[in-house]
Amino acid sequence: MYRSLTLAIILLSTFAFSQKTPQGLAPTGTVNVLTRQNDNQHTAQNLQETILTPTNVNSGSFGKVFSYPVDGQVYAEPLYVQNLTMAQGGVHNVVFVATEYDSIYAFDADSAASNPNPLWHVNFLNPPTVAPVPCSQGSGICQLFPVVGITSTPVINLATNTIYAVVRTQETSGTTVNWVVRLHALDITSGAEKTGSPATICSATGNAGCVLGGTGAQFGPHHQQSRPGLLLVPEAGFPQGVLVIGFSGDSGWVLAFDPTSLKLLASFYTDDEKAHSTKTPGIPGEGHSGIWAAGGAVVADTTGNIYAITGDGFWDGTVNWGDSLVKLVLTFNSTTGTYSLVPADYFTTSDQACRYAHGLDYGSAGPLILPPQGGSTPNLIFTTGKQVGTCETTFAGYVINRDNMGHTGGQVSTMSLPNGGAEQSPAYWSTGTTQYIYNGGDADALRAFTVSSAGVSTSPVLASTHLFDSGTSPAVSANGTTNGIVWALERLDDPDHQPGFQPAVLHAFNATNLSELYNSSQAASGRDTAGPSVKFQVPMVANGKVYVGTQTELDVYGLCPCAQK
Amino acid sequence: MRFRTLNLRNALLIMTLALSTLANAATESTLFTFSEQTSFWPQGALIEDGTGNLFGTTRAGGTYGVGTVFELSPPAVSGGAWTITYLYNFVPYGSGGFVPVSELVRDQAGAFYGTVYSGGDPICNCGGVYKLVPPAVSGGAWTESMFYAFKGSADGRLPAAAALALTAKGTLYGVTVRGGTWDSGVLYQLTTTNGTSYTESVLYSFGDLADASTPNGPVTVDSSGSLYGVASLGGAFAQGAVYKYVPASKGHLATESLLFSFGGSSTTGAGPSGNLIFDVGGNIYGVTNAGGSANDYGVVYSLAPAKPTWTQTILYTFSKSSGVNPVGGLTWNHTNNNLYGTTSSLNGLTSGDGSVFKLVPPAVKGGAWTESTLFEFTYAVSGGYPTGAVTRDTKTGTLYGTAINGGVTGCDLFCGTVWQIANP
Repeated sequence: MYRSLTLAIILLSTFAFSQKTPQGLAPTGTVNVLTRQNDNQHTAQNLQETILTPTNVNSGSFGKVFSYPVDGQVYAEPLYVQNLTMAQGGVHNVVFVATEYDSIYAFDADSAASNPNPLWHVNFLNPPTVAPVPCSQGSGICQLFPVVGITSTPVINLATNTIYAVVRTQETSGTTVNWVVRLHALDITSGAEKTGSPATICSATGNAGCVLGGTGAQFGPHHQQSRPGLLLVPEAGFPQGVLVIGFSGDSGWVLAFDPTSLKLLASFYTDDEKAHSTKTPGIPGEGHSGIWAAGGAVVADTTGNIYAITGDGFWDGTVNWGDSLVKLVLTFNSTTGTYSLVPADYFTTSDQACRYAHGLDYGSAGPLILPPQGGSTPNLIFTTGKQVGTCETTFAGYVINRDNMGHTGGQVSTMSLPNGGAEQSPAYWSTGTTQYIYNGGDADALRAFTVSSAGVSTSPVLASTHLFDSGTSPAVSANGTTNGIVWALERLDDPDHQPGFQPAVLHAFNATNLSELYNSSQAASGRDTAGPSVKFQVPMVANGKVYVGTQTELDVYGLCPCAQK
Repeated sequence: MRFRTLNLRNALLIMTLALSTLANAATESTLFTFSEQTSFWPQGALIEDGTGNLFGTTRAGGTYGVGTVFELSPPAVSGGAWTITYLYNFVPYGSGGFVPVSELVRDQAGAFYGTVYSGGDPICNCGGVYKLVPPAVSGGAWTESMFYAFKGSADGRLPAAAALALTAKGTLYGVTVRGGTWDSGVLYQLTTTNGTSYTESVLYSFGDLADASTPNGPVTVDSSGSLYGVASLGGAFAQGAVYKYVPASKGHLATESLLFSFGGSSTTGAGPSGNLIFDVGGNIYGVTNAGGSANDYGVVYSLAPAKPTWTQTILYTFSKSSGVNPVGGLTWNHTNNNLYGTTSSLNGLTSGDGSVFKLVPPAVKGGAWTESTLFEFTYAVSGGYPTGAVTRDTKTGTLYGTAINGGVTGCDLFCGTVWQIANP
């Protein structure tokens, strides 16, 4: 217990909720970003930013300072470790970037001029026998383009200097093509594989799959994509903590691994097809109840409960979990000596059947676990999903009580979102007196709701004047409760004709009023132009710089002198 | 009785006229529908050879999922199905590059040239320029080679989704959207003496101060060797420009100048896109993807030579009734000066996702051009989002083109079609 708690404090050094108050942390001057959206609750806030302020973030003093080319699209959020002693020597602030071309890079986070080459770079391909997966394979829908390799944001365990990543490959031997999903654990100082790494989650041909965790359902590597960011959950009831990975494909899956041995501890799947069809469970399915949510579908609270939100699919509340938020508890069976992921509670939208009929995912947007509030329902989760005008008269977000999730239609409250469904993830920040949720739905402004012991405001209290056609997943930088800035990436390409090649646009807003401070289109002659945008990317802020993954490069923004002119 | 006879005569006349009109009506046919299981995302304009075969590229699909060069051959018997042959499947590793983004150009020997967006330099992964050489023996394999891979610095990176310009000497001209001195794109040339090895030279780096930025259209070469094109950003009003590059000559340094900057008023259009075409008087014609009105639907414009900048005339401002946001450029019918083009999307019509339009010049100089919509795409049936210029068969007048996606119900994002319009 003591060990787990210590590990938690180390791992969650930037987490807001290791504190007892919801009003934010006192700045301590150092920051690491070790997991997607900064913490397991996905607050997407860095409260230790002492360099960037609403005063100096403007196109006169802030802009693109350098970039690093990479070999594929960057859907995973970049991660950051400061003052890392590298195996090859030297101490660096390091930014880690994973690509769809199955590469992981470690770059110096402060200067491409001084460090033009990666500190290390590993690539898991060996063409032509080991190649990235063409996007037309598996699901047959090129939501990611043109190849699929590493999609989910890796996670870093600073206690062991390990970065974990899920890698997809297409592997050919003679005339046999295998679809392979592996879990890699690499030393963050060198890129070397850790002992026991990689672990093969599943390797199979065609539509075949692997039975995982004794469930009887098959995990099909041809179809399964790991899209949610990986989580390390030290409080989940396993001595070394639990590595949690979500998947979408024929069914949603949550897999829990021992982060030391990389052995599978337990699994949970969301679509048991034998309960509603004659098909083999999971293979080949129809993409039911996937766990994806723009890369943010799985979160965990500070007591080790895991929450997974699902896309549309069949629902029965027992073994089929379409359009639901499911609370999973890692449970040890002392008789068998095995673990399982038990669905301990759930919330399902009251319009689930309509959503399923029309392909309108509830779980298209990442959930946000709010810090403890006062009142009778202190532990809340904020969720949104796709716009469902077909099923509802107005689009709504849902607030769920984590202690009693209410099952079908049992939300604590809903809030009105004036426009657009969400395929992104929200962010959270507190000024010390006012707590905000920032949400960027499709074709909508960036909007802020307030949070208090009374719950979440039913209407937004702030809105940007700028609209985001494809929505946005914001992130917040602040020095504790001051100097709050909301960062948001804009994708200009038509969301229905993806992917295009228009540059990502980085926006910065004053977090207290959502007035725009900066965007990367402002500077003359394309000074701050980023690489072509990808969907679902979250800007990562650390120690005075903002890191943006794109189709072709990692772009780094900071205080000028800027890269051009 | 006489009255009846007259009526019959009139009726016959009306029927004749109607049949005549029907016979001459623009008729769209989908020649081929792509699928996510084979190849998909056909793009840009097509090339037609002397026997009616069409050549193009798909950005995705094929054996390795990362694009193809295809040939679409007409049926032996009228009314039969067109036949697709994949001349090359791009490979997502090795030295050949992948994800073709440009239209094709073809030399006298039958080789194709184009650009790829990915692959090439192993560090930069900045794309490059490839050549696809026909087999020595009919039925053999075509040979692809990327003869220039962008390094990502001064030499440019990420080639634009636009056709290369090819001269009789085998020199190629193109643009990249990024890289160069200001990382805002370059105009480059590739010269060769043997058709195998090429030397790249950056002629000009875009993006300094109020210069044009992010060139995105094909390069047009005039008889004096000057190069013309459009850039989607930059210019005096940061909404794009038409540029001209005059190569160095005896006693003169090379110069780049902006013939026109978009965005000076709401009516000029914004974000020029696609190719430029010239009339015999040296006037330039093109489209903008946006601007033109508060609706931002784009325009067709012409530019007449003048100093210090050329004089713009708006030939047509797009509206929901005609389709909106053209991406591809224009195509001439030189016999009557009609212009043809496509709109990409969101045309507000119940049936359509983009359109093919015709612009007829005014009978009297200075009059208004007349727009007519030849075809409105139905996304799930005929495809959607046509973004290329129209290919016009000069013998028959038939128009050919591509639609990036649609064509099949349930093919949510991709697939795409090759279409033709007879009697445009």
